[in-house]
Amino acid sequence: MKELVQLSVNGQTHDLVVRPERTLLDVLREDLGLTGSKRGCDLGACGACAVLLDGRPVSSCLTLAVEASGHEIVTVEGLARGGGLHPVQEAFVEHGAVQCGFCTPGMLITVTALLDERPEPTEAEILEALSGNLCRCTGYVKVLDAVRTAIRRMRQPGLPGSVAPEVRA
Amino acid sequence: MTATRIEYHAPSTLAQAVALLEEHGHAAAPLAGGTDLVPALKHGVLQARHLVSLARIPGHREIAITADGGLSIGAFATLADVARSPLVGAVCPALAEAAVQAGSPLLRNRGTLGGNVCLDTRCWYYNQTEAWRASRPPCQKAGGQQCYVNQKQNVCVALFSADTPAVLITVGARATLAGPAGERAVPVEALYSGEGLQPLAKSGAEILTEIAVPAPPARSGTAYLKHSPRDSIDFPLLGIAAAVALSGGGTIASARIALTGARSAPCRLPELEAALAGGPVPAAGDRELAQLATRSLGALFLTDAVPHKRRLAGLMAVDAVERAAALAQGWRTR
Amino acid sequence: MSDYTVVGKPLPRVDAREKVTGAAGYTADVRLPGMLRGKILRSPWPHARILNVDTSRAERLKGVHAVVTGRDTAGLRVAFVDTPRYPADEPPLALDRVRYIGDEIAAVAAVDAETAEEALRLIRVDHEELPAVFTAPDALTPGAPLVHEADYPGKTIWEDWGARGRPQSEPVPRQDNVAARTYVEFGDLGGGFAGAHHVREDRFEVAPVAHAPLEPHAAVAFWDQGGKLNMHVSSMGIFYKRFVLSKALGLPPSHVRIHKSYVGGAFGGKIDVFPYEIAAALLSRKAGRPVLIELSREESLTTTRMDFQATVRVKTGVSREGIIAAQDIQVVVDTGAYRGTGPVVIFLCYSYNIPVYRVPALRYEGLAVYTNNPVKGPKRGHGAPFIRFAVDSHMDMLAEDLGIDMVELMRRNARSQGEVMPTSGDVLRSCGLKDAIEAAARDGGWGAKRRQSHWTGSERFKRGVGLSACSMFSGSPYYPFASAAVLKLADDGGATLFAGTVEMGQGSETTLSQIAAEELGVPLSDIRIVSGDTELTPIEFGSFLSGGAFVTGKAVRLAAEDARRQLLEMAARLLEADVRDLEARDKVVSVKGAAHRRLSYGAIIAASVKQASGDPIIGKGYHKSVPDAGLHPSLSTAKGRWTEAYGFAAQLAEVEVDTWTGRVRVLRVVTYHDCGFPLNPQIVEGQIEGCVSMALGQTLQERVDLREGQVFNPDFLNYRIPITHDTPAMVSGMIHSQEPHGPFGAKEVGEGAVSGVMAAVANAVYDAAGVRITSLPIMPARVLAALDAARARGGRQEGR
Repeated sequence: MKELVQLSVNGQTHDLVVRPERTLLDVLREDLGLTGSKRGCDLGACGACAVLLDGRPVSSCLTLAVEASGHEIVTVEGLARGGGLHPVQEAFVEHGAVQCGFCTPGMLITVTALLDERPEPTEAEILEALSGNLCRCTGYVKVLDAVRTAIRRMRQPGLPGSVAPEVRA
Repeated sequence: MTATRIEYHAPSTLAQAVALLEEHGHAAAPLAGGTDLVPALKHGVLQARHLVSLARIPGHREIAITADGGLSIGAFATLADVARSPLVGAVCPALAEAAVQAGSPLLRNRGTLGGNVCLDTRCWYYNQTEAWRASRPPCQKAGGQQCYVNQKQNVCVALFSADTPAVLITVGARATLAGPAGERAVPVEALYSGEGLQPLAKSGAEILTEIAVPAPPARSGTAYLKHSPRDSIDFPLLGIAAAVALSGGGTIASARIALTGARSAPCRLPELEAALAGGPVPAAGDRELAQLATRSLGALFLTDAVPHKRRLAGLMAVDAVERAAALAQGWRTR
Repeated sequence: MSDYTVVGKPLPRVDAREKVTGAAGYTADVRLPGMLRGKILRSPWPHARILNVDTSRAERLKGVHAVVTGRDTAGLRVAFVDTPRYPADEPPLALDRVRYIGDEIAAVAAVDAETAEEALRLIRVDHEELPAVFTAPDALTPGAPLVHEADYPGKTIWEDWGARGRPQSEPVPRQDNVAARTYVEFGDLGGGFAGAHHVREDRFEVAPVAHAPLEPHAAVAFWDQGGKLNMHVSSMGIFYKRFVLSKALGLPPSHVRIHKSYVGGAFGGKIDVFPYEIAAALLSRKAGRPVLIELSREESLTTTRMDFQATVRVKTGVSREGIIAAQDIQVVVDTGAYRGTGPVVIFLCYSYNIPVYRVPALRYEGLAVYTNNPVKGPKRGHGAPFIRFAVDSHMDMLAEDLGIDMVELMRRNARSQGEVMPTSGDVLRSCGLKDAIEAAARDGGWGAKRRQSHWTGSERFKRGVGLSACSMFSGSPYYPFASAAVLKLADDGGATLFAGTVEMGQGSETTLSQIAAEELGVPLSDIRIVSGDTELTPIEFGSFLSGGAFVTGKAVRLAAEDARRQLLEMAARLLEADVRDLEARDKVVSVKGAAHRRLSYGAIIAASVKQASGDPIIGKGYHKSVPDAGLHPSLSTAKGRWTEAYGFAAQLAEVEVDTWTGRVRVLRVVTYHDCGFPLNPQIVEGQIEGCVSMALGQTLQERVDLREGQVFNPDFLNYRIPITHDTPAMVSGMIHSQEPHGPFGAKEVGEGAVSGVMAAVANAVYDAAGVRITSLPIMPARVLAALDAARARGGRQEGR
């Protein structure tokens, strides 16, 4: 049995026919070609596949695509707007919070959701919000630095969250 | 992901959902957040061929204070909703503590309170992939004959590892089940069979719709402590909930303590409860009491009954009682 | 140093924008028209004879395009080490036997993953189970089942290191399960021990751990019309992969092209050529379509590679002052069902240990033993974590025996600049070891916190500090032994750098671009890098043995020097000046003292094209990992040159032990790493922090739970790598020792800081709670058991 599914991803609506056992991650990566969301463990234990579902970060590997039908989905590809990076993305670039980059999409999704909900989270809230996103490269130190910088930047929207000039376009 | 083909149903009323579950019997399973069910589907251990989604059914997500000052929580509310609810924090802080420690933030945004209460039991064999399990004949829970964990008695001893039920049991919460014969409410404690194979003492066609937490008695407090290797993602190796009411004189009037992660159901510690009743509030880390608590566990642990886990359970029980009592001491009438 | 404008600066990575937007392409992200999905049928048995593999039903399944088995591999065997002493032993797909749970039997390519999995269920394998052996001691017992009944030596020689197309000679029957042995002896061992003031012997055990990069292994293969194999792989060195793949498939190396993919972390686990990669190539050839094989997390954790289970015995004789007189070390590792890097790790345990302390007399024996467990391979530090755990725990015990402060004991024995390594003749041209020890001790508050566990004021929570040091190669003679780089100038004065490096998180694209920019005199934004593609770039050493920055970085610097020289020579002609009178700055060449006589880089390049027969100015550089290495240094005797430069690190850990629960929390880790010169301090810090986090996982909680050859925790729920909550405060400092052979003085940084953490934590636990844990990981149950034993005996105790 296949199901008709309507997915709104990064503001675009897609009508798809999918088997019900397929996950949102499968459909994003295979059917929509949105490979920014990563398959790290396929069991909801690493966070590399995190996407926003109606504004909340969830593991897309544990969400059946049929269950996401009719809901708003944002993936890492949808974070940058108007050609500019999201302040959280900029902070990750600037602080060296990105190494191999495989956990990065999920991290960014989690952090943007946190800051949307709580513009000034405490240290404990930052640690807890990211506690479901595994990173094997950075030891989290620079990731946490980047989050703190993004918070400062977003608190003062007048300031350009620009990245150091040496970054290549 | 296995090649198993499944059928998906998205009823828009509870009655339709119950009817679908009844129609397909053992071949059907209700789908809420999916954080436990989807891995089971991927591992090929889910018997169900029909998934009955609860997502399109309106309601059953609200968290409200009842007329008598208790809590009514829709079972489809996510664990994140429960964790961040100021109402839950006010009436039953331990429930918020348990909810916020379940899984990881990503899982709590999908996983529901009902799903956590109805969590399947787990073991090292059953929760593996089909390819992994091919190295050994299936266990009882996977449709075979044996239990690898308990080979002597050969009875499935898969562990119950959800965080919230221990709290719900200590506060005497009741669960509302909607089934073919209508609604019924049972104490959460009575939801569990104690069997690893079929941990829930309810019919497969019944859907958990609401959790009712009674108004806390005066001068009472609750606490939940979790022991796991990491402070997120992991299931509890041990979870201890305590609900304590104090007498006017400041001694313990009643204590209810429940443990998760030791047996195929969350379980009370009646011997410890009795020992505490009428006595003084213990100091955190009271080692004598902790030893008593450890002894009171008796033969509670079905598996991994290493001495340190029993000792830890004793320490945690005392700490949980102390924390709950501290809240009770700060009790103010509303 | 301060003159530099690009190197030595914490500039943002050049690959970061692609990675934060989701645009960066990893192997599993490759999408090609008609691409099939491949899946592998693996052995569920730890040891079995394969009688017949019937694939007919799978082949008939709708949607299946190809099935391959051992019949398609023509007796091929591959291995990381393939030498006359240690010939290749792993058939990519089972021939007549499977030797561990997960061993590859067959592979299927189908229209989608579900169909491929369904096809696997239709393959019938007739087999006969064989007795299996799961521990090194059992495997060494006379009469133990033989994991391999024969070796299959070919004509393989050092220059031909890699896989062979077919067996070249008769199999040689094997008598035991010893997969490899390293033996080193020098100095007057008997005299050293006999004359020692104090001798002690200790034994340590280390559980196997997993690399667990966030990206599971994957490969894409497709063949073009000319019969050339194209692949995307999860690699750490594309030229090594190409070399082995070409040998395995009987193709000239030029007929194999590795295309660029970003790699989502590797940590040593993606060096080997794996059966799934060969299967992807075979399936693609058979099906005539591209094939993607994406391993599951479980497959990645159990069937690629993992770190070794190891036992280390250390015996040391010291003088009254604590000076080491003689040392006797034995390392036994379980290498699993195939050799993997067993022969290498038992050699490296010697080689990564010997640069730390002076040892006048030594006996070292390393044994790698076959078992029916999963295959082991290099993981960050490759032996250094466990040998350093053992030796520096042992040193801490010696320090207490002698009543000498550990810092003082380390300082008295630590090597310094100019020392020559025994057996190899490697020279420590730069060595900041003592500086690192002193800096770590100072910043970690050693003097104030050591032996002060009561300062917590708590009966329950005890705090302590511990220290350890380590060393690491900066590249080694290993195929392709050298790196080359090409720098092509563009007519806007910018340049494109062609370097074969694989960006797997270590930041090589950034640091190499920085080197080119610095040498050429342009900002980093003017350098574009083409990397990770065997067709587009010259050969490269690879990102392992910590040689990336040292070997490839040197080649890039030479290429940029070459381009700059050509640029100045052209400018000299145009400006009618002597080259020595020119200066280059901000992409302009001018005559010193006559600033109006100037030309932009762009104008010089344009003139070069017009006037020098079309020469657009292309710089070229190359560097051999160890320029004066002989033909082949020996793994079994440790003789021969091994590296040009050693990196060093000293690490201090501060812990809090919950003496009631046994839980150890690491509060702070101070690392001082002698990396010669940090090309990009932000990237160096990132490497150190990543090393510390990974090492803490191994120290406290990580363990591949192997029982009867099966991994009981093959997923990220149960194989528990550290999370945010596990992150201690980290101080990550750098010692600038200015390695004379390194680019701008740089040497190793990616691995060293992983190896001092284990002993530092174990020593800190002892300092805090008085219990000595000699088995990793230091889990609560172990600590608690040791505390119980200590209480029972009334004092400080050793625990396992």
